[in-house]
This record gives sequence, structure tokens and C-alpha cells, in this order.
Amino acid sequence: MTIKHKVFAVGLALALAGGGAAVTQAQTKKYTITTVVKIAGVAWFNRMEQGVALFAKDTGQNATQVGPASADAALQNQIVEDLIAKKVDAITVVPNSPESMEPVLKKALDSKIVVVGHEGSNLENVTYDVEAFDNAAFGAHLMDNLAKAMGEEGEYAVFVGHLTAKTHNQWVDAAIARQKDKYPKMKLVADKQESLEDQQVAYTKTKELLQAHPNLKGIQGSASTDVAGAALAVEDAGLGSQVNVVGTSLPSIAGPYITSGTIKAISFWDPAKAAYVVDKVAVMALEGKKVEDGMNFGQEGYEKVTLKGHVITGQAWVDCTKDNLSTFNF
Amino acid sequence: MQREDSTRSYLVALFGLMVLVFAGIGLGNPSFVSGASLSSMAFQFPEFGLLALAILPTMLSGGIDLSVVSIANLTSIVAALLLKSGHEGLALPLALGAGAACGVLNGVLIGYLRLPAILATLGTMQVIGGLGIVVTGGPAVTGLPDWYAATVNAAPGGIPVPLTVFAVVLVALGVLLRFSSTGVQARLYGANPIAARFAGIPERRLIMTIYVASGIISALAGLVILGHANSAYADYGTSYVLLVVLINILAGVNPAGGSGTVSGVLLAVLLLQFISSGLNFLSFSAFLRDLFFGLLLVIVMSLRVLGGQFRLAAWLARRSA
Repeated sequence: MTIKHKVFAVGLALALAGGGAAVTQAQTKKYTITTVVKIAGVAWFNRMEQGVALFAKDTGQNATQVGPASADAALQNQIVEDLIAKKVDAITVVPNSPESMEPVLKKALDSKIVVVGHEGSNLENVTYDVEAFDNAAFGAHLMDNLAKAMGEEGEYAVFVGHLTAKTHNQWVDAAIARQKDKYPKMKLVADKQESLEDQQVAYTKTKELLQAHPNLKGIQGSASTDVAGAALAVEDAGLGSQVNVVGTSLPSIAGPYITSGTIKAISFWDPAKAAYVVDKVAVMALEGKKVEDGMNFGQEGYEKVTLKGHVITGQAWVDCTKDNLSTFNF
Repeated sequence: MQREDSTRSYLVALFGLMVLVFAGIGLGNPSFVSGASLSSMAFQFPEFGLLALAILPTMLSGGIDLSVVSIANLTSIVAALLLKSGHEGLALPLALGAGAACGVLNGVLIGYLRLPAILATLGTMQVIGGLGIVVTGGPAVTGLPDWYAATVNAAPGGIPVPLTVFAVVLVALGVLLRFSSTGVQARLYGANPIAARFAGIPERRLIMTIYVASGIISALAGLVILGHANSAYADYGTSYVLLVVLINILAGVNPAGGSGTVSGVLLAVLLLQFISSGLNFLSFSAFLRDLFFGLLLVIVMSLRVLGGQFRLAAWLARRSA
């Protein structure tokens, strides 16, 4: 087969070019590790893919990322089913609905595949789960940012990607609890708004909110596109000086609105660093090594992780405002 | 003009395409033809296969049921809540009852109030889906007794339980559509509702029967999903709505009603599953899946219009003569 020869030749050339690195890699077993994300092709998971690619480059492992074209738990289940049949060594997963994935992840574990979750602290059928931070603490932190932007008073509304998305609801619930506890002059004016992880939906719903609540002073977003959709609606309505937007997002998505001042602050964790740590954990598990409390994973925010049960938690949240926007390239 | 459910030549072509796709992917990655891979696929397609069967009778009658996924999710929530609270004997009958009730709602809107099926079921899709979110408050319902998921995810004799459910529904629906008077009436009504009315077909009762059947099959899909996910989630499978419509068109069901068969649906379900799993096996991007599905649909529909099913059949007949 000529193709095989070509592949072999290219591989040989790469190995030679790799020099010293290739020699050390040859000694460790090469594992196939596939990361299954909620949805492919959005900025957040594109950034995550960079982390996966970096990990593959640094370690020589066959680490790749896949995801469905729409954020549907059913499609994620299908992908994992196929990966089990394909006999990969490890599956790392960012689930749309952690509960819906338990049986298929159990099937993976039963087939001797290492499973590492991310954003799924309640997952049971995983070898480990990696969380960037404690979700309740993060939600409270978002509320602190919103309160600061609003001068600790006035009406606000909150967005979640899906009413069924667990982490988004944890953030928002913790934020509302924080507001009731610390900022009595602020008032939640509507039920949780559902953006369906879609910037256009966030835009439309914000327009409706501004109609229904002309005194609205603050909006907190959860999905990475929520703040951008909300900020555009606020600016279209000419209310940029009245309404403050904060939330979870990425600088590349929220950047223009941070510059214009409608978005006061966004918070996030770097999905690339999270993916890097997740893959590192997967390889440790494959090599039979144990993760320990206080371990250093060599990535910012994961220098001293806490381990509870099988959940590994870092302190990896980052705030981005007008002042440090230019320091981020994703 | 000879009346057939679907021209045989089209089904033969579909079968040929399916074999080609299977062989092509198998050549690209031989482990695709392994038992593990086949078993994995056999666990995947029954849930949307059932939903495709649920839509079939409605499309045959010239309608459509966009609410099938919402019905499946609502019934799985009903079953989950009952199983969780210890009413294990009631779970199955009441879940099927909930599916039938949703079917009655569609039947009333379409048969009695004469709303266009696509609008009526678009509405009930939102209503029933919304009901699921209200009942659960958003998060998935978990904590089912272990036996339920264990039963649904079992594979006695190597045949997954969901596959058996799918096969039984497929055969039953096939027999019903082909041999029962309701099946014949559904096709006649789909082909020409005005003629059917003048021929004395009990229109309202027919529509009601069709949509209740669709609701019950959706409920069965919901029960399979409940076991497969070991939880009931109001937003599960939202991408299935368009997929199952696509399957029916690909199956040779006339979008205007009047013709279509369960064997066509079976072939289309398998074809799409092969493509979907094949792309995963060959490590292609997920967007290619939608691209392939869409292309397939556009090409198939164009060919059917351009060639004309009947002329194609005549051509094939001449060739084989």
C-alpha cells in the first residue's frame, strides 16, 4: 500500500525531526484520549481544543476533541457510544446533561476506558472530574461584580443557557442568594431567562426585558454568548449608560462591548487550561497513578487543587475588564 | 396509475446506498464492522427510530407531528416521577396514557378544529415541552430504581432491549398500515382528503386514531430514552425533531401524504446511523454529519422530482427486461 508507506515515511521524518523529544516519547505508551464537548465550533470549545492540541504536542499523546453540531445530550450520548466501540483509551467529557450520560459513561468504565469529566461535579460514573472552581463561590463572585457595576442598587435580570443546565443554575442561584444576603437594595425582576446558548436569543430576550422593565440596571449572563447578545440589545436601545452587563464569557466574544463599556466585567476560566489538566488527569489514571489533594498540575489556577471524592477543584477563575482586556488573546 | 406504498425501485436503491455506505466506512476503518460497533449502533438508533415511526402515520395522512420529541420527554418525566415515588406498577400504563393524551390533544386541534398539522403540532411541541420544564423545574429527574435502566440497557442474547421494542413497533405498525382499514384510509386521506371525505371516510375519527397512535409510539420512545439516560430530562433529543422528519422523507414517504412504508423508514434509519457512527469512527467533524444528512435529503428529493419515481421504475424495469 503506497498510502501506508507514505504515512510511515512521514512518521519517520517527524520522529527524526522531533529528535530528543521523540526518543523520550517512544518510551511511554501512546494513549488515545478523546474529549467530547457540549457543542463543536463555538469560541469557548475552540479555545478548549487549543488546550487539547497543546497537550498532544507537549506529551505526544493522541489527544483530540469532538462535539456535536448542536448542544443536545442525545447527540453526545451517541458520540460516546461510538467512542466506546472504537476502543479509545480515555474519554473526557463536558456533558450537556450529566445525569443523561451516566449509563453510557458507566458502559465506558465497564469497558476499561478511563473517564474524566469537566463541569460535571455530580457525575458518578467517572474516574475523576475536574472543576475549574467551586460553582457557588463563582456565582457569588459574579454577583459581587454586578453589584459593583450597579452601585449596589436597582433592578436586575439573569440569563442561563438552558433552564436545565446544572452549572448555569448553580451560578445564578448562588448569585441571587448573595444578592439577597448582601445587597438588599437590588431586586431580581424576572424569572431566569433562557438563551438556549444562542446569542440571538439573548438579544431578543433582552429587548423584551428592556420593554417590560424600563428601570432595569443590570444583567448577568451565564452562557458565553449571553452577555454579547444582551449588550448589543442594550446598545441598540441607547441604554448603554443605564444598563450594566456582567457574566461568564470570553474576551473574544465580549471584547467589543467591554471596550464600549456596556459590559463591565466578564469572568471565566480558561477552557484550554482546564482541558490540559483534564487530559493530564486522564493520562495519570491510565498509568495507574493517583491524584492527591494539594497536587500541582503546572497550569495557572491548578497549582494546588483540592480533591474531594473523585472531584478535583482548582481556583482558576479570571476577571476581565476594560483594564486588562488587551492581555487576552482568546 | 398503479398504487404502491413506495415504489419498490426506490427502496431497492435506498438499500443499495445503505450497503455502499456501510462497506465504504468499513473499508476506511475495519473496526466499524466489529460486533462492538454494531452493538453500539443497535443501542443508538432505536430511540430516534421509534420517533421516526411515530411520525410516519401522520405524514402518510398528509399531516406531520412535530411534537413527538416533546411527548417522549414528557412521558419519560411522568414515568420517572412515578418510578421514583414507588408507584412502579402505575409508571408504564400512565406514561403510555400521557402519550395517548398528548395525541388526543393533537387530534382535536387537527381533526376537529382543522388547524394545519404543522402549526398545531409546532404549538403542542412548545406546550408539551414547556410542561416538562415546568414539572421538573429544569434539572433532570434522577434516582430511578436500578431495575429500570438495567432492564432497558440489557441485551439478552446479544439483542439490546430497545432494538426489540423498535422491531416490535415496526412490525406492528407495518401490519396495521398495510392491512387494517385505518391504514388504507390514512393513505387515501393523505393522497386526496377531499375525495376521501366524499368517499365517506370518518375523517375526524381517523385523524384522532392516527395522532393517538403517534403519541403512544412517542411514549414508547420516551420510555426507551428514560432507561438509556437513566434520567428524564425535558430538553433531551431536541435535535431529533428535524432528524425524524428527514428520515421519513428519505424513507420515500411522500411529503404531501399518501405513500410511505415502515421498511423505507427502517432503511433510512439504518443509513443515517451508519453515516453518523461512520463519521465518528473516521474522526470527522460533527458538522459533516449535518452536511451529509442535508445533502442526502436535497439530492434524494431532487432526484425523485427530476427522474420521477415512476419513470425511474419504468427505466429499471426496461433495463432488467
